[in-house]
Amino acid sequence: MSSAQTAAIHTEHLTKVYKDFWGRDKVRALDDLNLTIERGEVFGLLGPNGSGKSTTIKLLLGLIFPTHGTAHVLGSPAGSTDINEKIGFLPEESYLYKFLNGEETLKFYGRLFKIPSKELKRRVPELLDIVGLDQKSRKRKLREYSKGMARRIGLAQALINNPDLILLDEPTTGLDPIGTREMKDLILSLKDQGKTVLLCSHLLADVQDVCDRITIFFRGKMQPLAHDADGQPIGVAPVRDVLQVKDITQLNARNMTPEQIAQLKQMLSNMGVSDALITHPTTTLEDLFLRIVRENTGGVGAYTGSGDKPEALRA
Amino acid sequence: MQHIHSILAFSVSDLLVEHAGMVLAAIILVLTLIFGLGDLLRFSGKRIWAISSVCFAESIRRKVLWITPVAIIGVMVVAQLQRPTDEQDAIRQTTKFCLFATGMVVVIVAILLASTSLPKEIENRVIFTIVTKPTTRLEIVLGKTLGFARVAAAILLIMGLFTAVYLQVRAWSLQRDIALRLDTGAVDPLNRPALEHYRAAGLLNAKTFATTEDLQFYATLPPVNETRRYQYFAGEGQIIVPFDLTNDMFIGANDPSANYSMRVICAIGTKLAPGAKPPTTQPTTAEAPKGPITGPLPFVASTQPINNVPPDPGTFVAVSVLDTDEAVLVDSSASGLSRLPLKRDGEQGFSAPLTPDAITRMWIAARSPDHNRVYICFAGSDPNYLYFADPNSCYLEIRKTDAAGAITTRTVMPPADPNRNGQPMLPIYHGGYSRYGQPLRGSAEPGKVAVYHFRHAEPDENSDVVNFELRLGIERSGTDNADEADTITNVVAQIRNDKTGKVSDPITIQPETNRTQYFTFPAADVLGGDYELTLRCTSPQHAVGIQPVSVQVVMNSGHFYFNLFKSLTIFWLLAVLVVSVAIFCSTFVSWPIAVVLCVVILLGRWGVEQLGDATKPGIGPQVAMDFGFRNANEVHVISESVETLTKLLNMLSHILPDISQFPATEDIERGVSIPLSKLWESVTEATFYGAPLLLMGYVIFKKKEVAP
Repeated sequence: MSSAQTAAIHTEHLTKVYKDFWGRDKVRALDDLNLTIERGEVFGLLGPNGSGKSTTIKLLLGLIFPTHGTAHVLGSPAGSTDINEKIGFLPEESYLYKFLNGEETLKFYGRLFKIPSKELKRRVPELLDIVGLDQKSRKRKLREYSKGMARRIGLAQALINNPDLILLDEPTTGLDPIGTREMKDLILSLKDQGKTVLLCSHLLADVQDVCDRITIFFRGKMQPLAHDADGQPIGVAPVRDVLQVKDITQLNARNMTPEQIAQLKQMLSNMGVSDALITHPTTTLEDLFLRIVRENTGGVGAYTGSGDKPEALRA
Repeated sequence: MQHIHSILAFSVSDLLVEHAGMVLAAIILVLTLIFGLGDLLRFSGKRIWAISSVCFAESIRRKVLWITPVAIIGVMVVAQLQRPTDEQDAIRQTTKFCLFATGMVVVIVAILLASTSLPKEIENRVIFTIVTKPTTRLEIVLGKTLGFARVAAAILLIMGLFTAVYLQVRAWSLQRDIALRLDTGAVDPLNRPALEHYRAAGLLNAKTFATTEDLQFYATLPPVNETRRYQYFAGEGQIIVPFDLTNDMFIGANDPSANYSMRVICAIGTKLAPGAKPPTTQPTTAEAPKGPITGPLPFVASTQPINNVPPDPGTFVAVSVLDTDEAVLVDSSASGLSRLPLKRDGEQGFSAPLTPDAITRMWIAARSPDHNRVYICFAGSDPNYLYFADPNSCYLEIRKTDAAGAITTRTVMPPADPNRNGQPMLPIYHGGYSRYGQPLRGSAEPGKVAVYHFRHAEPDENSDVVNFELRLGIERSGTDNADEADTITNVVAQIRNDKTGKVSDPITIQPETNRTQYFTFPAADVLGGDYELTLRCTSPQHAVGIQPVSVQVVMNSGHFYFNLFKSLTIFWLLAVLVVSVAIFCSTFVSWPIAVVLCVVILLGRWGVEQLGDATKPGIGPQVAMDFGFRNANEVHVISESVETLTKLLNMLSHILPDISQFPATEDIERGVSIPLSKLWESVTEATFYGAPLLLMGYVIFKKKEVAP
């Protein structure tokens, strides 16, 4: 079977050119994209604003049509209505009906998937719990939601159908550090369930923490990240490989005394290591923030990624 | 002349114009099947209902329904300003205000909501989260249509409830006032019969009427077994013979080398009016028909002598031609139709030759399938004579003489009358024209009568009496200084039953202009349902203007609120059509343009119809003639250009929906039960235009990139 049929996402020479009123080329938003994303991986699309990330997602979802090339999603041509049964999509902003409340929103999207009412009654509160919207919030109209709450309800609608493939466009935009961490934990839990996640972001830390492989777009083109055995440039690479600094070795140890550190330095010197740096690592601000919140509240939100996965997310 | 004749024959394009809507609907259906078969197979009512529910919720939560109390307050304010002629008229006007407001509100709301919904969802990108679900574009289009149709239903429900309650309260209040006035005697004697009728029958009615188009004016009421009918001409009456013309009757009308002639043949008789003396002056001989005329006309006068009118002095008969709308097509004096002398005191067949111009005008009428009836009109001028037409001797003769001199003749008889077992229709004895219709002059002596011939008009209800309604206009002369008694107009009605031959007792009615009068006859008088109702004005110096619809028989009385329900249902069907048009427009233009385009589509056909004769086939040669073109090439260019533009305009108007097919208010205002056939016509119109437009909108939307 070909990659187009087996892969979660497969594109060949996918190109999108926006034209002006007279049919002349205006912007080449995406240029000759050849990309294969395997099932079960978390894939990151990186790039600055206007690099073609969102255009790729829109093409994969059939919101716009390619100028050249083909795209297949879960084995079917991109944009096919049938395949939408298995896709969840979180757009870059929460484009939802502002006059509905949280529960009504999820019920509406659930009905589009023809989920039985009985099933919806169970799944909707469960999903609202997962994304951290409390009882009071879920009864409020979406126009009253903060940006973070809007992202949460947007995420919930993307998961209403328990999708096999989730496309997340800038999922952490507008979220506080706790929300960001929850989002990352959620992505990892989705991966654990064998789901494929396409993460599109320009926040590099987000991608670094959760993605298996990444690609970087710039001006509509995939940029080379590595070279294959034949010396040909490769646009997709595992995060670990890309970020690893191979000529530096790092050793982590807990509670070493100053004497032990001095002995270690001496040992390294004896081994001929000249510029060894032994110091205490700093934590990240995110970790510090989360620790403070955790100490004060006893938790960081409704879902902590502890492994207790709700039934709605089980494969 | 070949260039002129090339426009004569019906062509494929004519068929396209006539059936443009059907052709377009077929194309749309095929396109839908080609592009949307997959979506049709995935069709889910559950998803459509979900989308419609969101549209409905959006409208409700955006307080669209708040427009209804505004409209209700408007109706109540306007209702205070009305100046009704009587209590029934007050109800009529109130009904009109309520339904007008209802229609306006529902149509405006439907246009605005449906035109803006899709473009705004694309603009604010909510559509991203809809089309990325397993929702087909067809379901989105249909879901939105259903949603806004539900909003329209909610508005109609509120306005309908208000209308029902408001009219009920108003009717109750007016009836209480009527009862008080009748009981205390504070009533004008002229008004008493009407008020008593209102008290008995109520003011909220939904009656079913029987009417007749068969209205004849005779000089005197003919005896039962007498077939000959007489008419006073005297500058007022006419005898009219209908003919349905078709293009093929004009034999080989595209033969430029042939000569054509056409004549009206009829047997017209006269007799001296009772008490009249023969005139002493003698008329001159017949005028010769004009012609031949050269120029752009497709018909030229025959050189063959066809006018065999004997130069016998007698009374004159002028012959003219009316079109389908009874407007003058060929005037007897201006178009060369002769004023023909006629023997006095006897029956005489005569032929009236038509000029080339007249033939051309009639041929133009023949080419318009829905406008091809013409009326040959005979009118005399001698008040001392009564005239009659022999119904079996009236026909048209069209004669073609080709280049070799061979003559081909075609005879055209009046159309078949289904009420006479398919025999030719009888001549119409027309009463002439006045402000309120055909004038029936008053006379103390038995004389001029108007005869309404009803068929199958026996009421369903088990009642001893049959209710009639009369509405006419009164023209009085010289009564400005007369006392009140002189100003009362008396009209006598009588029934002559076809089946039993029984003649009823006469009933005297004292009508007022444009005010409905109510009278009854015993049910036995209308037994069998076929009868003649005669009207005679017995007040000298008075005349009443009547029309075929002036007299109506009440066949049965239904429930007003059921009638209101039917009216609101027609409004709802109109709203569905409006929503369909608006959603179609919104699939390819921005919302402000969609609103305007929607209005243009809805009113386009009506607008073209307002152009009237300017859009009728055959206007090309007429325009060329009117502008004085005589050069053949110029005539050709002008004719062809105008005809092509007219065809395009007609084709466009045939594609557009006909909003006159939604008659939600006319009948209910008049207290008439809305027939189910009108409801069905509205369903057909809404479906025939709404469904293809929605499918076309779907095809466009399917091919549309929804990400801006």
